[in-house]
Amino acid sequence: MRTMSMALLGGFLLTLATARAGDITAQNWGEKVGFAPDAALAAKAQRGVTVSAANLAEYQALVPPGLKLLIEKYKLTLRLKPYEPIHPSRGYIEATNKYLGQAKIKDIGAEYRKRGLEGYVAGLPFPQPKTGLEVAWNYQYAYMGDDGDSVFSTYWISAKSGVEHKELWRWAFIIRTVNRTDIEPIPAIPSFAEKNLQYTSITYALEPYDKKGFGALYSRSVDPLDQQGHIYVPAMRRVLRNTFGTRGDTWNSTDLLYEDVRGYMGYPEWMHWELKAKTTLLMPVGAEVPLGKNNDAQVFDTKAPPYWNPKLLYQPRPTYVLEVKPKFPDYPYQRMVFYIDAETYVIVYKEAYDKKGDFWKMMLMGWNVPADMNTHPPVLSVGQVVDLQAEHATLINMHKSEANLNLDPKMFTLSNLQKRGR
Amino acid sequence: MRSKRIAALGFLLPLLAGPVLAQDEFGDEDLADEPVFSINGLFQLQSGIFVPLLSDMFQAHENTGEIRNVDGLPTGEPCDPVMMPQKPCYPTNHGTKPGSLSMFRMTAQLEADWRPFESYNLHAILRAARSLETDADGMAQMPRPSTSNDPAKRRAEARAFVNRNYYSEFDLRELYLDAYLNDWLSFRIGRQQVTWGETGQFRLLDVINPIDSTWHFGSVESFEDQRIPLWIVKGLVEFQDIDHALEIVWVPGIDRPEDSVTVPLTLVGAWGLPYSNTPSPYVIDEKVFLYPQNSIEDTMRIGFRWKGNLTPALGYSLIYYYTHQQSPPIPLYYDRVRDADGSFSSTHLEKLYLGFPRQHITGLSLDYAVENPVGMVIRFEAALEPDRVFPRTSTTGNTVQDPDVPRRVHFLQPRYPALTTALVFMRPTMIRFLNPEQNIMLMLQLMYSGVFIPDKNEVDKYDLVEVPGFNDFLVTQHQLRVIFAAFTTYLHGLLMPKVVVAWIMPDLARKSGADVFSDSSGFVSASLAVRLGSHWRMNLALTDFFGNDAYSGVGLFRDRDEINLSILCQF
Repeated sequence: MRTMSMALLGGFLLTLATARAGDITAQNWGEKVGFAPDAALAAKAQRGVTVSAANLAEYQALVPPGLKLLIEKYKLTLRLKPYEPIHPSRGYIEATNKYLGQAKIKDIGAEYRKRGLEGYVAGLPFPQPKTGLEVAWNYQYAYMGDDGDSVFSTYWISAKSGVEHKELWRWAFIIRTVNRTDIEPIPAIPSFAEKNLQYTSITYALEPYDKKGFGALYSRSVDPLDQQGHIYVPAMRRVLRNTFGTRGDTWNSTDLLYEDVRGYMGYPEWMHWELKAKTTLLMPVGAEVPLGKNNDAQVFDTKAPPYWNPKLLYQPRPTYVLEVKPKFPDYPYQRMVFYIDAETYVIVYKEAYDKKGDFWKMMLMGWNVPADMNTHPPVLSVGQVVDLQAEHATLINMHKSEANLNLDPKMFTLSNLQKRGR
Repeated sequence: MRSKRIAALGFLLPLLAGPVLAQDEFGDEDLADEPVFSINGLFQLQSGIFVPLLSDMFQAHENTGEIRNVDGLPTGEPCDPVMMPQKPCYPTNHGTKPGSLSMFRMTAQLEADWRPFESYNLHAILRAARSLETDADGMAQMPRPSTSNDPAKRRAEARAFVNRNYYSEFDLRELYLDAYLNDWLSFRIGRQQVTWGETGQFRLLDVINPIDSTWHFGSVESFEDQRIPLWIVKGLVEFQDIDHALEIVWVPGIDRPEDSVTVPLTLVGAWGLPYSNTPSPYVIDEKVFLYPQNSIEDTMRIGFRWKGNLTPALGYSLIYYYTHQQSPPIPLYYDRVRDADGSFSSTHLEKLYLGFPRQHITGLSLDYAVENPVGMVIRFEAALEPDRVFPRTSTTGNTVQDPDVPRRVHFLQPRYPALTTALVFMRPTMIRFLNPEQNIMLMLQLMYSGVFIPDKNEVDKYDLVEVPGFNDFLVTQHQLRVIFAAFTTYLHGLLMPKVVVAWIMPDLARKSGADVFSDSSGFVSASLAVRLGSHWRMNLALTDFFGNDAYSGVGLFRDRDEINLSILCQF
């Protein structure tokens, strides 16, 4: 009898807990979907403090290995600020609550062309993830708004000689053609849903002259397939079908692979994900990067060696550390370590190791807090990729970055790419 | 030549620029805005020399000719085709002097875009180019040959002809207005290039703009620089719900007449055709090119392209174009000289008239992306010319006396269907031992050209030629071409090596077995482009032409192996 009573009580409490688990709000977002930062560690980050090689020992526990290397060897400094919670838009929170528990991971083993998730509609699929794969899916569907448009500069940097080359690009995208939360039609734009496309994008070069006008239109399937798309080649005056993101290809002769864009542009199904740690680390979230047409000098120090150091603000962030290994035998990285923010589920920092297991590249993404978190996503404001073996870096600096613009899907058509060309 | 006509238009750029130069590069803060006004430009210096390369075992070809007797048999007596472009001098080779200039050109270009309103964009390209004369330009075959008896003077006149007509350019190459009337209808109106088709190295459906063949050897240069822009009205009707678009092109024909067709290769020196090894039996005082002109019926061209995607991985296009045959010019008729006794000469023509007949072109293209691990794009393209006119041999008897003009004789020009198809495989491939960081783009293009002459017209198979005046270069009934290209980048885009190999088989209706290989021609081009910062570019290219027959296929260029260097500064 007593046992039965205990079971009933347990069932009641479980029911209550389940009901309350769906009650995620902007105020409790961080603790409901991830975890809170370590208070003792977080207390060490005060505005005005700068971490450098001189005082790195004091902040050892808060700095990932790659960043320590940059601080010690390449004079990177981290300007600190206190922890600030971040939450997604009302629509995303509402979708997370509405569809809570519906997303289910499918066991696809070593397969990487099979869809590995079912039942997902919108919002964060796995609040308080228990496994690396759940964290990966949370990253895949992290709150980014439904669309965006940006102008950014890209720098090619040598640690020995400084700036080698610079280009200016524009990139517009509907990142959620399906699984939408902010802009009608919600949750999907029918024309994309019919084609099973989850993402579409158009990008083109603005500078220099020999690149100007080069454009690319591509889309991603819901299924873990290669990107499909077309490029416009100004010298040919022609739109050509192209394959994008051949796994392991570098983007535009930079230090990035296609999959490195935004941290990881591949699919969860393409990798093995292992959750290694839940910890608190200094990360450039709320990096307070000044956007603007001529902001490059304010964001990166391209005047002093190694010519690639960013000037960002870092705060203690609850972070999932994942070890990620490719399912493809020919992938250039043997393994990667992802540092995923436990509130926003964006990748803030990433390390990549070569086939021999040697540390090869580190990638840092700086995120600004939007002006209105209730309606807009975090703003990807800078990206830095450093090839530590070649001592070469690629810097990406947003001049403008806007989201939830209600972009017209007709902007992402073949004829529009053709029309934009010369 | 173009300079006078458009010089005044050159002032348009600063006029356009004036009101907007002070504006922000990105316009106002609305991200959707493109730059309101932008201007870019470049200066380029490009030069090359003829150098015999590997296929010639680094030995120069000799430029030789010999006299033939009245029966057409060689006498062994040497002669100079420049001095005697007609019978009885038969060149047996057309060797270009090693170490001489193949080209030397300075180019300046300004390109401007002005977008005063969201729905309108004005685009202009102004190009000035100046080339130096080359020795090889002395081999240009002027429409009205020199009357001098001095070989040096004859060559100098030919060089001057090329220089005067093709080596000075000040041209408003492009000036067009884009008008986006609504989200499904837009127009591009003005002087422009329109590029159809999917294949790169050879032009199958890229038939709207003619080519300035004086620029360089076509396949080793960007077609963007070689196309002659035309005044065109282009309308685009988009069917976005089904991801298709209809493009309608109307060329009213208000261009300079000679701009409306590809520059005849006999008029060009360094990169034109040599003197024929089968010269006409006639002395010709003048060749008259009948360019399309004078009336809208004669000059207007019209066509459409229907293009779209059937699935995210599969696209296609259908095209139709009513145009002129842009190359080569077709001998249409000639006027004979009357001898002293009042009869018409059997060896002397006053004028030979060459034209650019009307024709229809229709075609289709398909492209399909295959998933990894195949990971390639496959393209298919076909162009059908149902009524192509082919030139006859200069010794043909298929002529007819003009009923109204006694001195005039017309060639009987048959029309036959011609089909060109290409299958292209394009794959970005990681070959890590060659390039550990960047993929190598591999491209293989298989191309078939066929001319379908019915058996009942057997005689035409031996009386039609590919190039007027080259009587041994008979019409190619079935031909295969294989083109392979590979390119990649090293050092984060600093170095960009590229290799193109073209293998052009002879007419498979006439050759078989080992002859297919021994009579093939082609070229190998290897280049290395260097990116020096954001402003400077350098390109070094070696091109080796091969072919046993100096008067067939790309063998026509076998003495023009070249080392070419260009240096470009852009802003």
